Amino acid sequence: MSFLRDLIDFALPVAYAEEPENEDEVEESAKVEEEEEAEAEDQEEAVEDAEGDDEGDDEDEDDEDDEDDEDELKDPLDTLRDECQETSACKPYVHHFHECIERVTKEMEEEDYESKHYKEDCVEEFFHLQHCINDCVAPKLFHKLK
Amino acid sequence: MFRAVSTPLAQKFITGAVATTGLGASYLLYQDSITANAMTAAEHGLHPPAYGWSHNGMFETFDHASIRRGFQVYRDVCAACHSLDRIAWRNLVGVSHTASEAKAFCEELEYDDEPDDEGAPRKRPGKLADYLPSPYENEQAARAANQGALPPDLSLIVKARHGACDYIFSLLTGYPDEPPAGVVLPPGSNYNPYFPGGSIAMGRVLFDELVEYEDGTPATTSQMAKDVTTFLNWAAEPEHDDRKKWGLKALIVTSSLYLVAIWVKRFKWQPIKNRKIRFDPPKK
Ligand code: HEC
Repeated sequence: MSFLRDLIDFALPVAYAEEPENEDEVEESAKVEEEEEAEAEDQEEAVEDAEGDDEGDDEDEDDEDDEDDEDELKDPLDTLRDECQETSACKPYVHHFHECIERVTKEMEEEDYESKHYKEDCVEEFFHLQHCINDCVAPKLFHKLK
Repeated sequence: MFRAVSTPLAQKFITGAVATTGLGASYLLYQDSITANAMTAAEHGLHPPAYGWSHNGMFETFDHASIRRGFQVYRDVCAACHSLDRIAWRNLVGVSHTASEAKAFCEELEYDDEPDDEGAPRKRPGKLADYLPSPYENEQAARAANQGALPPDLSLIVKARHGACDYIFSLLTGYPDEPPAGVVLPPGSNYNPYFPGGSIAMGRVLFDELVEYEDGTPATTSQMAKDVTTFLNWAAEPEHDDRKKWGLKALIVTSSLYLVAIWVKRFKWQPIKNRKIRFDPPKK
């Protein structure tokens, strides 16, 4: 569509609006307010949608959050990341990551940990998990942002 | 000399020497590759995913409302540590702000003026032609304030990093709550998987509702990161919109010229292609 618009823009002379004069400003701001109201409604709907999605296991947590603050802002990125962790594609990576954390934490508690030649870390497991989450989040995220 | 090489014994000797050197070198390289742990995944950094930037397409322009919000994020957050040397206040005019808005921004600031008659330095309010101010006097001051790390100038950062917008966005939103187990960070650094090596001197700077957008957009971390990245992409490529418009015009003009050329060719060749050559053999 925007290609068509570009074509039309190119064919027709384009006029750029000047800054609004002071008299117009009252009207302008009234318009903006209207728009804001409409947007606010949209957001409420979006929030409701998001809450509808993660019904079930973490319902109790949600309720607690709601009590703290009615219009608490939830980053769609965090919501998506949480959802994506639960997908069947990413579950194994979550499992491996947690297993690694357990293994490494146990190792760190050993006495001779400091003097060990090779110390394992969970970066690779973390990367694999993040990679999976990213692949799931990336196509959806920007539709939820402005 | 050539005669010496041509004797069978010397030939055998040379072949042997070459083979030994080759095998020896291969063995040493192999040994080295077993113990060296160069270029682990952590050193490369996690690859950012491809996000759906609104300016990604061949004919897509920047989202200017996003640039405007992104400037607000830069001014309120990043400008505390990062300079933006290549952008002057006048560059914002007509892109994200009106002339009087940009004037209002710069008039709040003081710039060096010409010295007075006694040679004493003077200050004056900013003009549209002034460049955005730097947070630090010089590199040493910047390093001293950031545990020895230099916050890079952000003017061209989008062009200067692999992954461009995707990398900057992922970097800003990618700080995990805690580094993966077993990772040892040098003092004063933070874990970010996207930063090659994983340990970055810049901590997480964007948190939900850190700024309040004038257009009412919910200021989530990812929204602010998206806006500031779009703004930085504009700062690195201010010619972006015009370039794509010119590209479109060039395509239209060259393709019409191409069609005209085909038509002209056919027009010119028509009599030649359509002529009929007849041979009437002479009658006997
Ligand atoms: C508290 C100071 C501080 C603030 C605020 C800050 N940064 Fe930084 N930033 C730094 C420092 C220090 C570095 C250098 C990190 C290093 O080299 O380890 C850096 C590095 C960067 C880099 C380069 C990373 C790389 O790949 O080399 C980018 C991009 C960046 N910052 C973007 C931003 C953006 C965008 C903001 C605003 C949202 C911001 N920063 C806010 C201190 C800051």
